Order: sequence, then structure tokens, then C-alpha cells
Amino acid sequence: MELDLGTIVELFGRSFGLWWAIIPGIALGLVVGVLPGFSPQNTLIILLPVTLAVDIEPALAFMISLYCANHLSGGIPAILVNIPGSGGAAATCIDGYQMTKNGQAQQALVLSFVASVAGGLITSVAVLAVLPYLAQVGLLLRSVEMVVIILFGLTLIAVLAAKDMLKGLIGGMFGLMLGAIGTDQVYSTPRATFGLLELYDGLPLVPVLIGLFAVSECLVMLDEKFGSTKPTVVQRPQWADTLDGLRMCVKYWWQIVWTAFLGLVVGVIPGAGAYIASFVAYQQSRLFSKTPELYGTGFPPGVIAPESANNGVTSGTLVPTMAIGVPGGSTAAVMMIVLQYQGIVVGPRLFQEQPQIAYGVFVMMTVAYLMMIPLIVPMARYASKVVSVPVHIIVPLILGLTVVGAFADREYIFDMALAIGFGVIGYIAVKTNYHVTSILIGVLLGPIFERYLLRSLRIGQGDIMVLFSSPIANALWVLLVISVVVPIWRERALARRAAV
Amino acid sequence: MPGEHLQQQGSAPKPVGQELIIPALAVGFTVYYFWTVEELAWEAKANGVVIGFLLLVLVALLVLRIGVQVARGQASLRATLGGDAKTDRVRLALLGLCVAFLFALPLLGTTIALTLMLFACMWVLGARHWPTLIGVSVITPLLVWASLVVGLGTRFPAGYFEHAMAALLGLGGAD
Repeated sequence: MELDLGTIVELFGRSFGLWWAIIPGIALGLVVGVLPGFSPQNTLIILLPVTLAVDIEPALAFMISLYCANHLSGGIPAILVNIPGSGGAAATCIDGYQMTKNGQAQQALVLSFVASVAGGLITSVAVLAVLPYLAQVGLLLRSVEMVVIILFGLTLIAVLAAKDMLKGLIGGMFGLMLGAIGTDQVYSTPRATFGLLELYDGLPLVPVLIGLFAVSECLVMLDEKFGSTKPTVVQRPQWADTLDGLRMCVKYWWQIVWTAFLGLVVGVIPGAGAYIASFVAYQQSRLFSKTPELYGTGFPPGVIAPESANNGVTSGTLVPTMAIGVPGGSTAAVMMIVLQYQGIVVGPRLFQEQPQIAYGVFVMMTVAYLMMIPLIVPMARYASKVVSVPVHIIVPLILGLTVVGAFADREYIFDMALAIGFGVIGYIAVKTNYHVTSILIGVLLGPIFERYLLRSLRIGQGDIMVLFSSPIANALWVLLVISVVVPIWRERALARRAAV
Repeated sequence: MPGEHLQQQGSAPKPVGQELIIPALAVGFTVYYFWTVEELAWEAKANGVVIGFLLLVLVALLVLRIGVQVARGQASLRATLGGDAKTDRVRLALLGLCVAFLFALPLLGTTIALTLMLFACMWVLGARHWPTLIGVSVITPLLVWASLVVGLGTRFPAGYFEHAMAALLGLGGAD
């Protein structure tokens, strides 16, 4: 799996020559990512006839660009209207939307774009350098270790609940209970499905996401027009704000780097999604911050961490796909189908037989991210204008488009009704200070946690001690305990100091 | 006296009944979950039972906390979500329109149902500028139809408009 400089230069030249496939991929990825309910894998499946008809390199360039741009643009609605375009952007809402409310929508968008592009760039270049070793990471982290990694994400529930721990934990536990709906992982017997076949696969994530964030936000927004709530501060978009956002990115460059690598490692683990990476990154960023109390108030690292990790995942998911032939995610699985259709067998031999494809994928990803910089950063100025659209137009548009989006994923009208139902739950949660993100974390991570926990327990023949049976898992347990105890200890110390 | 009135308002117990809505939903769902998994193998219910038990303990603690506040006269069990009556009426109207949209969808098709829904929602929210009302409520569904139905081939419920377009232009693939 060695790669020399000449090959890299040649691969970069070829990838830049594929600009005509990369730019449409970026454009489509951006559009699809903004709409909740439209995933990159579904779009790629729809476009399979096109990608199968063209040569493998342009097809890969198109798919990779779409995938990367999709991960980036999910943060746009999260920042502007508190509606994540995908699960991976849910953590961005916490500080991103708060920045918008503080009149810093443009800066938040620039932070999101730069963190995403830089996170993707750093990790794709890093993957090129250490691909053989990274592939081993995916093999080292098994079900037992995954249980602990998911627990890292779940501890964010406690972090979000800092203001009222009891209510925050109830919200998170309620989400985890809802995540347990559907057939069980071992015997496929239905649990709490209300007799509805539509719930046998579990609670669909897209309608829940749309309901908890989009529909509930629409109901909250009405206070701006009819009630006493102070309207969102709207500032005239100006280039100075874009520059201010870039200045913030420079200031917090280290956040971008380390959270991108965190995303890369999570991405390498088959089955671990972008939402695990972004929630873990947000939680860890807050843990290591000197000013954790600023998180949730519109603090720039609160946008950088989840966005950088979310895009660090993009290169990570392709590592096991290319190196060991195990897709790291559903989009990677669709890419594998295209590769196999073209007669390319992914796995270790690919690096000897067709290095232009094996390494080319990551070079294309690097080039796609490079091309995104001039295309996307100036967009922040214009995208931020969404904030100034009057409530009587934006609310019907969000309601209409997101409820329609709830249908798109599984094509059930039931999912639209579910989105409206969860909208009401989300609205009540917002109004009574139960964090909707806590509920969402439970719904997102609950089923994955159960899957890995049961897998581990079956490996350990029912013995819970299997969770402490590997050195890596034990090291992760220690880190987990530290990451739970340190914030509590630090907040108590701060409170004591404030009292003195 | 205004001063006395303010003092009375300040000392009035704050309503906390609304804080029990989410816990009530959570407890109701947990009890239902326990009932559905009662006879299943341990692997099928272990995760949910442990989480459900923790949830019940947390809710019990919250009820205890609220009970203490009520007993001390610091809080009352009255429930309010903080909105004024007019805003709440608009909220209910919007939710009603969303539900009506779901019922209209199979009858009228996505494009026409979405047009009516957008128009009605904007009207309820006080929009009276006709070019905006018609522009937004007509152009948006057309864009949805062109991009999602024609472009991405999503099988949204088809109605008069989708069938007409399929028959006239061969677009949309409506049955």
C-alpha cells in the first residue's frame, strides 16, 4: 500500500480534470443536504443509472463531491432556522442557531463552511498518508468498544442538562425509550409499535428530526409575530461579517483540527454515523474548553466542533470501504455497488492492482473540498438573508417543505403525521425547558447502543463483564469516566469560586 | 395600589403543571413498553427495561421536587405554555391545516394540496399581499413537483395536476 509522490501528483492532476463532474456533484449535494429527509445515499441510488453509465472515475468524483457537500450543507438550515438538514448537523443547532439569534448568522455560516471544508480536507490528506494503519483501526474497534464510544455521545445529554439535570435526563431517557420502539435486534419481535407496521423498523429518524426541530420551531416562531418574544436580530449582510467569521476560524483553528480527527476515527468504524461523531465532538470540545459555560450561548467552537467532525467522517467512512471491503456507511455502500458494477473489487488488493482508484478516491475528496472553498464561503453572505424573511412567509414554507420532506425518505404519509406529532412534543419540550436535542440524541443513539450492547453480551454469553474485557475498551471507559466527572467537578469549583 | 399589585404578582405561586406533560408522556409510553415486552426473551427487553426503570425513577424525583414546591406554596399545579390566547389559536390553526393537508394529499395530489396549504397558512398568519400569497403558494409546489417528483422520482401522492402533467408532457410518471 505504498504511495509515491509522482503518483499523488498524477492523481491530483486527473482529479482536477474531473471538475465537470465535481461541480455538479457539489451543487446537488448542497441542495439535497439542506432539505431534511433527502439523504445522499437515496440521491445516489436514484442517480445510479447515470453513475453506472459513465466511466468509473467521473462517477466516483461525482458521488464523492455530492457526499461531501451534503455533509456540509446540513448545517445551513441548522444555523439559520434551527432545523438540521441531517442527523449529523443536529449538534450544530445548539450554538449555531443561538449565533443567528445573536445577529451572527453570517459568521456562524462561515464557521460552519470553513470547519466543514477544513475538517474534510485535513482528514482526506491524513488518510492518504496513513491509510494502511487507519484500516487497522476499524478492525481493532469492535462491539465492546463501540458501546463505550456511543456512551461518549450519550453523555452529551447530561452536558445539555447542566441547567436542570433532572429535566434534561428525563428528556434524554424519554428519547432512549422512543429509540427502543420496533422489532428487537435478536428475535425480531415487535416492541411498543402500537400495532403499526410502519414502526416495525423502529422510529424513523427523519420525521422525528423534522418534528422535534422544524415543526416545533415554526410553532415557537409565532411568538415573534404575535407574542412578546424579542424577534431575531437581523443584520444587513456584509462582507465584513464574512471576514469576521474567517477571523474566528483562525482563532479556533486547533478546534477544527482535533475534532476533524475525532470525526475521522469515528468514521472509520463501520456502522458509526456522522451524528455520533458530531455529538461526541461537541461534548469533548466543551469538556476541554476553558469556558464551558459559553457553550449553548452562541459560542463559535460549539459550531466548529460538530461541523468539523461531521465532515471528518466523510473520509473515515471510505477507509474500511476501500481497505477491507466493508462499507463504513450507507453512502459508502452505494459507492461500492458502483465500483463492483464496473468490475472493481474493493479490498487490500485494490491498492496494488488499481492504486489510481484506491488512493484516487481520497485525492478526489481532497480536490472536491478544495473546489468547495471558493464556491461556498461567499455563499454565507447571501444564505444569511433567510433570517430576514418575514414569519408569515418562512413559517408556511418551512412547514410545507419539511412535512413534504418527511415523506421522501420512506414514502409513507404516516411519516408526515409522525413529524407533526413530534412537532407538538418538541414544542411542549421547548416551552417547558426539556432540551429537544437530548430527546433526539436518545432517539438517534438508542437503537445503535442497543445493537452493540446486545452483540457484546452475546459474545460474552450474557456476562456483563465482557464490556471490560479488552484493553482498548478499558482505556475508553477510563476516558469516559473522566469526561463525565471532570465537567461536574469543574462546574462545582466554578460555583464555589463565584460564591466566594 | 400598583405597588401592592406587583408584590402580589411576585409572590403568586408559579404554575408548574406544564412541566409534567413530557414526564407524563414518558411514563405513559414506558408503561406501554413494559406491557408489550412482558413475555419477550431477556435480550429483547433488557435495554428498554433498564432505561425505562431509570426514567421512572427520574420522573418520581421530579414529581417529588414539584410536590415539595407546591406544598411550600412556591408553585401551583396550573399548566401554561406561556403563549397568549391569540397566538395559541394561530398555532392550533396551523396544526389543523397540517392535518388537513395530510387528508387532502391522497385526494388532491401533492402539488394542489401543498398550494392550498401554503396559501391557507400564510393567510392565517396575516399575509394579505396578493402577489406574495399567490407567488409563494404556487411557485413552491411547482418547484417541489419539478425537483422531487420529476427530478428525483420520489413517489408523492399524485392528483389532478400530476396526472395532467404526466398525460400532457410525459413528466412525473404519475400512474
